Amino acid sequence: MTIRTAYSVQRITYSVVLLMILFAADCYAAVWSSNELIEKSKELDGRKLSYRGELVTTILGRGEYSWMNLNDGSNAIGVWCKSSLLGGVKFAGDYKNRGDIIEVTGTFNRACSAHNGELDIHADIVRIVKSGYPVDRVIDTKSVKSSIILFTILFFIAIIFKKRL
Amino acid sequence: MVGFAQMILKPHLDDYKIIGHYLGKITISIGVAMMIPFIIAIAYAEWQGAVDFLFSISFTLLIGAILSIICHTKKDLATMHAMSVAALSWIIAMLVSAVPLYLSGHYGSYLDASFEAMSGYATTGLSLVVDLDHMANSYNFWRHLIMFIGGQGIVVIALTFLVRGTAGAFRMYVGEARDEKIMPNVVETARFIWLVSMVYLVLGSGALSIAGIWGGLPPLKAVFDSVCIFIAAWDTGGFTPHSQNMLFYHNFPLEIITVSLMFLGAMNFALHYAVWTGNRRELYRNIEIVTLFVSIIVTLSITAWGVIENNIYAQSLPFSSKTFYHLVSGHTGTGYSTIYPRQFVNEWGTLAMLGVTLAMAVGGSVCSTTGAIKVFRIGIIYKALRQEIKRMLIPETAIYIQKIHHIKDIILKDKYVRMSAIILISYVNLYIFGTIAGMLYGYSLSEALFESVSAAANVGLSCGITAPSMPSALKVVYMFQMWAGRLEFVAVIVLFGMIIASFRGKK
Repeated sequence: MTIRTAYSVQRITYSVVLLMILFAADCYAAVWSSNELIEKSKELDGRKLSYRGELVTTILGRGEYSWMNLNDGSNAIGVWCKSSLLGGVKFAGDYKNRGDIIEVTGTFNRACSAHNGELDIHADIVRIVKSGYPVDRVIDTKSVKSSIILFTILFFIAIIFKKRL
Repeated sequence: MVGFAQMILKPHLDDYKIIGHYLGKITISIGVAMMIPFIIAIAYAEWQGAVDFLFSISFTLLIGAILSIICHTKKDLATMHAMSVAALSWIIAMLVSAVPLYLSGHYGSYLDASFEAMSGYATTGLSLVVDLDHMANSYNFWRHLIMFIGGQGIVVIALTFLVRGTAGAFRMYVGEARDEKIMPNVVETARFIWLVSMVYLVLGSGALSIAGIWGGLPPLKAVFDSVCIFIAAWDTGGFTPHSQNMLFYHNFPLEIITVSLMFLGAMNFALHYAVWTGNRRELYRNIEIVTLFVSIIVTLSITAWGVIENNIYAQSLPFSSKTFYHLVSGHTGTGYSTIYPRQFVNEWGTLAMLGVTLAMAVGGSVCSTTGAIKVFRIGIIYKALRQEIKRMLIPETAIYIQKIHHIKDIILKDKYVRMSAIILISYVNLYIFGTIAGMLYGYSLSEALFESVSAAANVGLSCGITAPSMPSALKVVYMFQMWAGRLEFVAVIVLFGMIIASFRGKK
């Protein structure tokens, strides 16, 4: 093999390795939606992947580990991870709050043998993408006025026609 | 030849007044019930919720008051009136109960809110709610309270609080598919149903709260969710406070408790009474329990076979608990689920779906909160079939009497068999009707059948068809199925008969 040929082989090898690294990084970084996880569960079973969604309701602490449910707008998916990874979580989504948007990376299970056959993700990396916030709810004055009017009419009807009710 | 329409009499103004008067009373009772979520809204400082409920209470009470005043009468209900009231009260309850749901902003349209209300009253559990995880506690509790009212029976509530215990009251009670007079008086029966429910409410919610706190829920949230879950499990409804249904909790003890509650909810109130009064032998002698047991074994075997074929669960515990949970959830008409709807189609496959569909189609006991054909009728038809076979085998001169055991020994009469067969055929037709409607919109036979049976049998398990984006006509079809299925046809048929008579009846 000439030196030139050896260089060419070396270049091709480096290129292939670089492409593989880039491809693997891309696969790892790809964030899957809940619909994709549910529809392609057989294909994705056991794979390392990333998923992103809003933390809803609360973290369900189970000692060293915790459950959290992350909703991406279509469905919420259960994520099982070490409780120590959740130190930075501040808001869980409910009527009064928008929850933290959390991205997790971990192993996807379509029927987790450790958790009674649930479809879940066992996360190794938990990252808060966007912090949640309290929702400022403004009372609709029109509905207040309508309620008062209806209530007043009802009150007078009940008094006038008391015997017929 | 005289047609049916010419044989029936055209209703008089008084007939409409009687119906309107009692409908008014029932509407008032719905308005009074709305005060509970109103108080919850204040307790949780959900001010917009409080305003919306104040509006809805005023609106509902006003409708009820106007109906009661305009149609004021002291006449008692005849069968036709009682059946029409029973059928119409579910429609009017749906329309007024949808008002706060629609105002919550969690429904795409008033039709979707009405669908949710009907699903709640019929204790079905199919849902069109959007972004449930951000819904205020007051609206969320209202969804579950609707389910409780529907499970107990809208008329039962009115009987308990507002209507005197007359013969007409009993006819209304029957119109709501409750044909068992557990106590001598119908109002006492209604109150017994409440007593049983309240005792289990305390016990069930307590057990669920403990399991919830163990599972990581904050105590106050655990109590709130436990009451909601109890209501939906006991009334075999299927709503939950979260978008993931029971999967939200990741909690095996909670699943075990809900299975127990589902079984209790699927039991006949007369059987509850028998057991409460010390007659525990009834638990293994009663025709309903025996038929339920056999039906569970058969449908569970079919479902398990389908699940095994698809090789989903590698270990025995997940396999048995998932299969058993969904089978019981379907059979009792509850609709609780720990898998995503599309997993039925993508993973469980057609055979397993068929097993669950059959279980849903059979249902629980009569005079319980379940829907569907019901095990009592399946048991009667099986006994009648056995009787016919024996009659063919024994000498013609011999007399063979077939008995069934339901609280006491009863001789199987032809009229019981006829009634059971009529109801069975009606349900099968209703299932087929919804299946055809689903298939017309492009769904496969197994999916359309699954969803149709789930709606008509008031179950609430979904394979993914029920969604806010589904066609409006299909929403209306499922609403009709839920309504007719819950009332077991008789009241609905009488109502349609009365409408026909109003136009074409003999003067």
